[in-house]
Amino acid sequence: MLPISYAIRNLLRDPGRLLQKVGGAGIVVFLVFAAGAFNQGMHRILSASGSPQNVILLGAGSEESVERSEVPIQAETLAAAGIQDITTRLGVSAVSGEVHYMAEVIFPTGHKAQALLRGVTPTAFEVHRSVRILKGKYPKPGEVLVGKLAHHNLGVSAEMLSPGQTIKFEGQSFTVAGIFTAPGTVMESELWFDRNDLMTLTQREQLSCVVVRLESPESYASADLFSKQRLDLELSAIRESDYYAKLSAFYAPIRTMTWLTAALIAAGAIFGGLNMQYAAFASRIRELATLQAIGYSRPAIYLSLVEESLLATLLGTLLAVAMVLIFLEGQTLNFSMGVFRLTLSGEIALAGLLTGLLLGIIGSITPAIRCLGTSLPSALRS
Amino acid sequence: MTVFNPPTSSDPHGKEVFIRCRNVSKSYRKGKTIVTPLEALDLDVGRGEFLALMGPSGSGKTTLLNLIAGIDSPTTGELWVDKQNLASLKRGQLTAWRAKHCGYIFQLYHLVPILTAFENVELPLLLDRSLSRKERHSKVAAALDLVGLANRADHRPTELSGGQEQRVAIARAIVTNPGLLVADEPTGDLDRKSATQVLDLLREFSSEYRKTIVMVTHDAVAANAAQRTLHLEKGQLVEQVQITTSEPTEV
Amino acid sequence: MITKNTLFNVTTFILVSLFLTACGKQEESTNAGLQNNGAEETATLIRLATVPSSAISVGQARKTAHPGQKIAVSGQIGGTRSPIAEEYASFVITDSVILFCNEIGDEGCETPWDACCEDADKLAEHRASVLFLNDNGQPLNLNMKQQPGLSELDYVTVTGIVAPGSTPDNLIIHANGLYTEPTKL
Repeated sequence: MLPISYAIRNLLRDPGRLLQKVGGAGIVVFLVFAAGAFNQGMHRILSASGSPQNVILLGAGSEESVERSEVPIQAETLAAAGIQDITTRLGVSAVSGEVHYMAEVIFPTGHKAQALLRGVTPTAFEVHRSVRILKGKYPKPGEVLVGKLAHHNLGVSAEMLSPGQTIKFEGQSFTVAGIFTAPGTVMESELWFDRNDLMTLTQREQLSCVVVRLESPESYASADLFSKQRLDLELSAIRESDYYAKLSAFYAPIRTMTWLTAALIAAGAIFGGLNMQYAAFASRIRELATLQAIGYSRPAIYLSLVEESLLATLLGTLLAVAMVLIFLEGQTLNFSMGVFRLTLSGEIALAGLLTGLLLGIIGSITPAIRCLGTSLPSALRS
Repeated sequence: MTVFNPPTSSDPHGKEVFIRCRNVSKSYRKGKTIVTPLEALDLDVGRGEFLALMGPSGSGKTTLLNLIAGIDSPTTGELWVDKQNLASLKRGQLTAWRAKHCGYIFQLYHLVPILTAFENVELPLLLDRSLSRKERHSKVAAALDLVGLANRADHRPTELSGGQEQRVAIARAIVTNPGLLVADEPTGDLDRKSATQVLDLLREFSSEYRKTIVMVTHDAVAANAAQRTLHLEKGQLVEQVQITTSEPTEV
Repeated sequence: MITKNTLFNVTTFILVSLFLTACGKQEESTNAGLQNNGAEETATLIRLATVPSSAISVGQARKTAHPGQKIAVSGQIGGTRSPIAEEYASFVITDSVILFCNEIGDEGCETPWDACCEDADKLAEHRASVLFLNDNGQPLNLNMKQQPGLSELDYVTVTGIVAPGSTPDNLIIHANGLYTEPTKL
């Protein structure tokens, strides 16, 4: 076995080439990290947003978009009475008639932004169990409860949406009553209004949806039966988790594109790397032959070459990790459904490490085989 | 085909035979033609003998050297070095054999440029797992001392003269204490003074340490350093010159 | 309580009914409500061998039906996105005059039984909800896609009574008889 120091020093033979290899591998692994964090972030927020225990009653024909959906206001009480196995807490049934609306809000600075608005009643907290008020209190009429990450979506500082601040919607001022969290869900990007306020200002007479929390996911059939028994209400009962899974599927092409881009760049990098590696090894054919003449076996030399290549790509992986920690970790990204955070999870870190390993191994296999394939007597003379 | 025994007998001069080639041929395909640089060659070299191989380019002398060194395998015939028929060894076995029994000295030294003189000499010893670091270091120091370069141990090849590089290469060849040294034009790239130093070293290994040395050379002066010179032409031995003196030849 | 045993018995019953129907030995109808061993409920779903002569369209029923009335209604399963309930014996029945999604030339439609392009008022006038109850008056636990193997757009006739909670805007039939027509071409 050749000592690892031989591989290390070989790397340092040509600092320019080393820089190229480390940089190339670093960029590819960084892209894998970025694509992974993006996809996982988006997938996580959408899958965390839907509880299998919740059923959304949407207007028939608007099953894909709660914002387009219209549900008669009496559906809320009818659902509470007609669906079996609804969760109750302190005598309150977990049925939440909600208005979902996307509209522009205006800040005192004049800044305008599209916001996801939700008109709720206090029972919303019975249905969306992950929601917790962090600061302040539940909004009274004329007030608004703000999701922790809403400021990202609206492009303002967190201070501008802190309790006591005001925003304007449809010409009326609203005071921020509190901040809520709902970890990892789209709700964290929303502004929650008193439902009557929102319905009055938007001149709506119908709800967007009724969300029902059931004792167990199996009780869905009861909600489904309700929607079929009350054809006059024109309802469609959909598991909340299915609703968000469909949304997630809607974004699948975007996610595929990110992976495809990363894969194409990686493929380009591998071909470039193969060429460079071949040139690097080919310039050492005589030296490699000498090592064989001394008594080193081909596998031992081959291993050293792979080691050398791996060292470079793993350095690149480290570089990528550093870049991720500096530029990506904790960054929030907006998409139409809300805001999600990019994080380097264990799985993604593993994917990046594997990419680094594969780049190192694939990038050196063929060059090493070609360079060690020459017959020893002629390699010694080259 | 005749089957030969290991070379335990003595040659006509009373020396113990160390290398015995019998009916050795080497041919390979070059495009559509078959080239045969060596054909049905017989040769005996005694233990501790210093043999020079001369001949025009393409006469097959390097091919023969490579066969003796276990770098290449004969197409036909038997090639015994000490107790081992190299013709019967596979590539991996030959590699292991070379590590223990043969030191190779090249015309262009073939030192690894990123390693120091010390590390270059240490390379063959790293193959022997039974050696401790301390043992390795003392062997390397002894080898460098033997070639007069103890004070250059930490120098990289680029910091050494050609003669010094070749002496480091010699130290690398002898550090495992092999019975056989092969040298391919070891003085071909050196000035006279350095060449003399190298040849003196080789003579010393042959006479003092009973190393069997086979050296290919174009240079008659270098060949004179050897005890015996063989001429090869078109893959055949054509002439043998026996030098009886063991004293260094005046150059 | 609805038990697995009940479901098993319902399944057995339906299989027996299907067999008898197929053999053509039934002239009028079969009522083979199977008694569960010490069970609290008996499944009642009668497979009809022929269409009752009194059967009317959904549209007619919408106009004339009043709660408690005995009724037989014919139509197709469809008119909403998922017309057959998942775990209860219930489906939505719609008159064939309604334009189903497969009739508007949309080949790739995933829900050809839906009536998303039909006028909403017209659709409402020709649509009703069908529910089979067990003997306790509770919705019968049965996946009708599995047993008796209903599919969307099937032509069916149901007999039963107009549910007490039924209104002119929302016709609900508590059914006990089911006739499925061989596929119409």
